[in-house]
Amino acid sequence: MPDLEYFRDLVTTERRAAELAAFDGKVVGTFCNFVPEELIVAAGAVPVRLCSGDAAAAGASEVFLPRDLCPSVKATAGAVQGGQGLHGRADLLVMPTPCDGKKKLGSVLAEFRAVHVLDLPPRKDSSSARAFWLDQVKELRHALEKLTGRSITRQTLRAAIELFNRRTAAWRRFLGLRHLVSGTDALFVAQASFSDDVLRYTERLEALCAELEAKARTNGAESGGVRLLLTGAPLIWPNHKVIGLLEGGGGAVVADETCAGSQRLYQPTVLREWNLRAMLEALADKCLKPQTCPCFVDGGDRLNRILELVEAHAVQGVVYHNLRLCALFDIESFAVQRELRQRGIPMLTLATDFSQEDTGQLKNRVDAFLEMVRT
Amino acid sequence: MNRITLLRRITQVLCFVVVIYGGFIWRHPIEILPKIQPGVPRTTLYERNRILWVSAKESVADLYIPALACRFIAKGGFFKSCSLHFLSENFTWRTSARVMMPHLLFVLALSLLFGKLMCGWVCPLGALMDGMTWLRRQCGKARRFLSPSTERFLFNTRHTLLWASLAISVLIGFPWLGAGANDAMFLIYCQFCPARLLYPELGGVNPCWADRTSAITLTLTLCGWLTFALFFLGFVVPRFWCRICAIGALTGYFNRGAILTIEKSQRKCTSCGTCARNCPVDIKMVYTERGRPVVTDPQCQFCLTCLEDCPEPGCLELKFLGKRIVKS
Repeated sequence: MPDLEYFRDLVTTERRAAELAAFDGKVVGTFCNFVPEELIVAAGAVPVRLCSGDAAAAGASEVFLPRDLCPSVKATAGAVQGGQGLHGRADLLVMPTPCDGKKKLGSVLAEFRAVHVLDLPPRKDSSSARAFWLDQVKELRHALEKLTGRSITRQTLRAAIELFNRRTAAWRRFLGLRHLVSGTDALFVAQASFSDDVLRYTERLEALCAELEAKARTNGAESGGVRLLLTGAPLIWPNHKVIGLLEGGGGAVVADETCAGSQRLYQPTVLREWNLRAMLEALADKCLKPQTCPCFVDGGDRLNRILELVEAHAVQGVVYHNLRLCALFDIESFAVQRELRQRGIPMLTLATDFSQEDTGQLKNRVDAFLEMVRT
Repeated sequence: MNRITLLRRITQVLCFVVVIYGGFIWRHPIEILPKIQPGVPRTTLYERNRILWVSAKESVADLYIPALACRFIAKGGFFKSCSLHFLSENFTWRTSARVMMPHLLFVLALSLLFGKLMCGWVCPLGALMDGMTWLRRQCGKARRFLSPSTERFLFNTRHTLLWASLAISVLIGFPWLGAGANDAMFLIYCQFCPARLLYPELGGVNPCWADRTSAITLTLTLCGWLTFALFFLGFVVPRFWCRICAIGALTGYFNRGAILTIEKSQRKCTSCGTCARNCPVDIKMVYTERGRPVVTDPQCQFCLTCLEDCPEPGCLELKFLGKRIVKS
């Protein structure tokens, strides 16, 4: 049996929070995939991605945040304000500004915790955007050095980049074996990386890949089920409602294009020379240019990624998860729908939030969609 | 080390040894430098020795290549000279097409088949610059970048140098400027090409640092000091000379021909920008081109760094006559 318990455990229990409570160094909370966590490790701190899918925390935040706001932003804010677990342990929060919600969180959360805002350019493909972002990354470097009191040197940064590249290589290897586990399990593996120690996670992931490869050799058949691609807003534990409905109804999420799934660990930092300047530029590029968040003006990269995954995994249907009140994913869904329709690939758009009230409705729509795709 | 880079390094070393030291390895029996007779006006190529035909011997192979093999290599080297020297010399003398044709066909064939792969894999000057980059990396020093306006300026400069040299070569074949000027501007590009100063040194022979025969020759050969110094900027900017080299500009015209191409799958590309960031000659086209599959820039030297470093399998491909040779 492949050892998926380890990953599931990290996501669903407070084990990591307990470990870090005993850790006497600095813990840096991050959000999204824009933060170069290699810098955090090189400065001697521990990075933890704090994006939350907790409905209770979202409710708790309505004391100081509007009700009509992205549920993920509310959940994150509620968790930080509540100060429990990992959200309570973070010494510094690094907040990128992809969307309105996260922008304002930059100032709202500053009341409860130290926040370093990482300004994101509205376009990622121009040379001025790249220069601007590089400046932001350099500012972050200084802020981290100040936090930990340790300089980021050529050696420590190189070691961090090489470790993260090793993790990415293991992740890409896992993506090739993903059909041997359920989509839900794959999400757990991805989300375990939010908080786990990078080296330990990498070793565990490599071990998992070895197990899966052995399994593939003896019994390579994957479970049946309608082959689905899940995309849109991320499904972050405990908000796994949608994937639960999909796989419960007979679908198999064989691929996903979400920032808390496949895209989390996908990009390597490829360098030919290892001086600080080259490393910082490469890191900045990696954290900006290939990111498929819909917050940028142009959504072409995301479309390409979806189309490529659809072909590579012989996907039969695409499920677009629209988190209610997120204009960005909502607007982009039209372009995605159009491209998929042109290629004759059915798409189901599910607009939902963290509450369980619409589960019945969603289940009906999911079941109808799966039925339609099957025929 | 990446496999393609390893293969390229081996090729570069071999070509370097063959081109520069070919005259030492394979001895050619023919002595071509005749004695100078004072008072007798110089009319033939071989009698013009003041700019230093330091090589008294003919080259091993009577061939010109679209890369920096050079007439001034000690003991002649393997190839006769570069394509620009070939054109320049023969435009001046208005050599008959029959005599020129075999050489021209050979140069054309290499240019059409391989384009600036010659620069990336064969040219000894390029190999030297790659050696400088290697040294810089060993010292852990970062590279410098050229501003877009500088890059544009250098682009214009190299094409201007190319066409001006060819035009002057034609012009001095006629008596209009007088014998003095004609003589002084013979092989004008060679007079300030850094290879003329560098290559003889590599073979242990002294080149002519300043040709005092006339004001023109003095000026031109002193320009050679400038280009020689610029060559060493290759320590801070990878392949710096390639951005000025007129031979490269000439070969670059053949780069977009359909024979050797780099092609990109738009859909597999994740826009990570690694190709643009790691390119030694700062080509952005592989990253910026979003429409057509062919992404071969006229400056591309086919070092294939982009292809090797691309994290997406199958995204970039090297094709020869439409057939894939290697992919990312």
